[in-house]
Amino acid sequence: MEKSSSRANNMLFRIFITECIIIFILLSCGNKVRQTQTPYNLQVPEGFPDMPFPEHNILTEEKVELGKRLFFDPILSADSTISCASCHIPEFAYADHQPKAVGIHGKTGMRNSPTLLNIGYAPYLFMEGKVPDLETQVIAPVQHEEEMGLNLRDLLKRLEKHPYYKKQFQRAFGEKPSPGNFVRALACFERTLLSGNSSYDQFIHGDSTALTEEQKLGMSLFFSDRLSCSQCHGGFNFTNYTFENIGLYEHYKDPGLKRATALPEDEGKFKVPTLRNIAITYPYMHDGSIPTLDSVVQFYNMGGKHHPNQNKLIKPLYLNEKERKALVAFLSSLTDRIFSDKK
Amino acid sequence: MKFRFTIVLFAFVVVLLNSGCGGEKQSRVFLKINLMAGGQPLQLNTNYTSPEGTLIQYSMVRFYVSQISLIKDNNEELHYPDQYYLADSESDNLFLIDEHVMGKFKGIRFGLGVDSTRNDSSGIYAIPPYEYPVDHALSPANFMYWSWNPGYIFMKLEGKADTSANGILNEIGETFAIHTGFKEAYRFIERNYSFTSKGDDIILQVNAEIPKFFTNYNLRSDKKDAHPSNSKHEEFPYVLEIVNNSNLVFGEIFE
Repeated sequence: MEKSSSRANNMLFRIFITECIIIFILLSCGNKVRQTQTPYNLQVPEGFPDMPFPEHNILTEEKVELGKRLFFDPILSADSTISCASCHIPEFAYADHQPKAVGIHGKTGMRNSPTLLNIGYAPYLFMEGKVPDLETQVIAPVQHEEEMGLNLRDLLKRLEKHPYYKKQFQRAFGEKPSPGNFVRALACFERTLLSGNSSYDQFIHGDSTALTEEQKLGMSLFFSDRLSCSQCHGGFNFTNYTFENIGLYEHYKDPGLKRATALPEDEGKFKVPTLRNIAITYPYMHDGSIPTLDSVVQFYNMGGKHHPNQNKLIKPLYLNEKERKALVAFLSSLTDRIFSDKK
Repeated sequence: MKFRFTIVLFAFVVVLLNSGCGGEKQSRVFLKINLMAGGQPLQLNTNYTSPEGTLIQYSMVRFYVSQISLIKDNNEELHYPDQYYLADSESDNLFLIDEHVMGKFKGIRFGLGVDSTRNDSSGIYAIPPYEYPVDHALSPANFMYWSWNPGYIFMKLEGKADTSANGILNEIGETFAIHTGFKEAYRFIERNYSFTSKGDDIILQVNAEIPKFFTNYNLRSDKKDAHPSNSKHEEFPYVLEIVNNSNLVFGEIFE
């Protein structure tokens, strides 16, 4: 009798200890129970370098999925009418066709929306280049009164109440929405926006039929010392990521890099944009003032407006009509049809 | 028995530490900044006259307080390098500096703005703005982070100014917005005030007479809008004119 009672007590004691251990584990983990994170297999296009990304924000499937949902969701704007994709439209290579970005209540921003394709390679963000990474950049359009106009505080309240976001932030980060994991998710998604399969890419990777004869003529002009386009628009992403004044104006309303540095020699300098997918990201220039690719080529052909800071490479090119058309045709070959069809 | 003795000893030590010597006990110390105009609490969207005689209304007054030090009688300092506060015309601006202060003090010093350890994106102590929770003074949710440019706006003075001097404030172009920033515009305020921790809360109050920021600053002829992007910017000298009046703005400490 005593033995069986002792055995029962022993059993109860073991159950009690086991329960204690389980409760302890649950309590100590609390909301921080981390789901298994799935590494995101980022396939960079052939000929592209590895993408640099911060150690504190490793790409995972969960973060990319969350970031993609956030990117297309107007919940990020004060009146829930504008999402990131309102100005960065997939069909237009994640740019738009407005001269300047249009935010909530039809407010116009100060500059043309840039493409986000291959943005993960950008060593800095914005046209003055003073923002060091995508994570930091994300905050600006969300809070800017001419763009999405939503305070981070209010945004987090919305996300915390939203069933999908509540769940997905837990999946992606093991915690509720915070400014840090919000920007990380969006940055992760943006790093997956890659484009490197244009006709030009196919041509340089061995498909001699990918470019027309006209495009080939345009390509030889583009890379020639006579035109020097590739001096600034060179490299795998057709930009050297420097700041240049191309002589768009004699007097700039938008000071460009000077806005950040206050140096007179930086007036009218803007970050050199990528030319990938350029045919579908019209209108052009920092202020969207040139409507077509043909008129851009004509502008360069004239040699700029002779601003004191104008890059010395910008000079009359003396292109004939055939050459102008060939150059436009080559620039059009930089459009990544597979990407733009896939969206 | 041994265990009981240890507990009694521990309790004795705790009591001894708390009681201190000469009647000193741990106190909570607060800093309260009262935003004032004309000797009265500042009211937004209310007519005032600037020191230079311009009719003026404020719609926003907001500035950072950082690098607070409580200065002891023996010149030692209790320094709080990681505490940042945002004084705001719509808040009570009561800031808890320390919950466990003990001793005799003769003054306080604090900085206006965000010191370079948190304001310089390349600084080793720099923390990206998105790492702050939204209720932290340095969160971008307070709209004091530049966003397109690294760093924080130290102070925002915004409102309307009757620059045409016709007595009417709502005319187009009669707004002003002065945004200060950058390490050259960081200013320290130091005030003498004797206090001793005795267990009760100590609230060190200081009045900030906001219009005095515009001492010798003429909103009709000087810049009405100054938000320089760095200290070499053409608008930065106007920012310096404003912050150089900081010592006039802050009065003596009282409880």
